[in-house]
Amino acid sequence: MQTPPVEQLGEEAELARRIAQAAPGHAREAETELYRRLAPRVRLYGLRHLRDEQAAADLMQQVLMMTIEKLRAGQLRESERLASFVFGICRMVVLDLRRGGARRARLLEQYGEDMPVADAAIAPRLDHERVARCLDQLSERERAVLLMTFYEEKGADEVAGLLGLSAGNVRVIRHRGLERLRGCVTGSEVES
Amino acid sequence: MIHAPCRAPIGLRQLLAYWFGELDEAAQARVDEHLLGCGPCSDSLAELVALGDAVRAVFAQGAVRAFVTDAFVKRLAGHGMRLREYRVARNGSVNCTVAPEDDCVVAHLEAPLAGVKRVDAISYIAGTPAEVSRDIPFDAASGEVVTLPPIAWLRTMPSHRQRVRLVAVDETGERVIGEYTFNHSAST
Repeated sequence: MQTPPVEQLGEEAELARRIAQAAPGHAREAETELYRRLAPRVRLYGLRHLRDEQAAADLMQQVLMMTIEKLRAGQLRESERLASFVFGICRMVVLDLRRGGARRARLLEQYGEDMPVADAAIAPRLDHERVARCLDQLSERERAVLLMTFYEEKGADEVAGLLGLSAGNVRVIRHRGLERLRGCVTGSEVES
Repeated sequence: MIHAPCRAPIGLRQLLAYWFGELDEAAQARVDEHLLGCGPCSDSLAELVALGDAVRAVFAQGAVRAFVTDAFVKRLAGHGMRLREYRVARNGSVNCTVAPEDDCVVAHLEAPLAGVKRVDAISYIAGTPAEVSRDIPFDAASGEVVTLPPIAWLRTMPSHRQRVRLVAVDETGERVIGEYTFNHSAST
C-alpha cells in the first residue's frame, strides 16, 4: 500500500508552508486549521497504540504542539512530507508516554498558552437503539464474533480461541458482520 | 469534514486488521502514516471505532442477545460484571429470575455436542411466535450451549415459562438434542 499521493495532502501541505513562512505565532488561522484537521487523526493513532482515551488525548495535544512548534521553527523542509513528519513525532511521543510522559509537562509549560485548540471529536455518536436493532438482524455467529471482538477489542486469534473457530474463519465472519452492521446502521442496507 | 478523495483507500478488511493489531510491523507503519495523511481513510477508521463503541454500549445496556461460550462468560466476570448464571441439565428445568444488581443473565444448556456441526435453537414463550436462532456458535468440547438473553428485555417480562429446544442439523436431517424449561419469576 502507498502513502497518499502528494495532491491529496496539498491543502495540509499548504497550511504547513504558511506556518513555516510566517513569523512564529503569526499564522494563527493556518495553525488552527491544521490542528482541526490533524487532531482526530492523531487521536485515533493514540487510541490504536495506547488503547486509552485519556492517553490518546494527551498524545494528541503533545503531538500537535510539537508539530506546530517545529513548523514555526522551519524544521519541515518539504511540506509535502507532513504526514511522515507527524508520524515521526507520534512515534516519539508514544515512546515518551510509555516511559512516563515527562515531556508533557515541559511542553505545556513552554507552549500551552500559545497553541490553537480545536474540537477533536472523531465521529458522531451513533443511535444505540438502531445499533441494537441492527445487531439483532445479524446471524448468530456474526453477532457473537462482533460482540467478542469489540467487548475487549480483541483480534481474530483471541476471538477464535474463545469461540473454538479458526482465526481465518473469525476474520471472514467479522468482516461480513461488520459490513452488514455498518450498512444497517448507516441506512445503506435495507433493514429486513 | 470534507476531504479530497483518497486515491488508494484502505479497505475495511485491512482497517480491521490494523485496528486489532494483526498486521506486521512494516504494514502497520504504512497504515499509520497513510491514516495521518488521509482524511477519508481516517474518517472510515473513526466510523469503525464508533461502531465498536456502540456495540459495547448496547451490550452494557443489556440490549444484545447472543450465544457465546463459557470462555467469554469468564472474561465478563473478570471485568467485574455481575452475572446470574443458570446451569440446566439436558431436558431439565430451572426456576430463574433477574435482580436489579445483575449485569448479565447467563444460561448454560448441557447438551451432547460431540460430532455435532450445526445447532439451531428454538425458543417458545406462550402467546408469542417461536423464535428460531439458526447455526448458533458453540464449543463442542464444552458439552454446553451458552446463551445471554438481553437483560433489558428480561426485566420487562412478567412471570412466564420459556422452553428452548436445541436441534442438531446435518446432511441427514435434524434431531432434537435437548429441551430446557425456564420458569421465570418477574424481577421485583
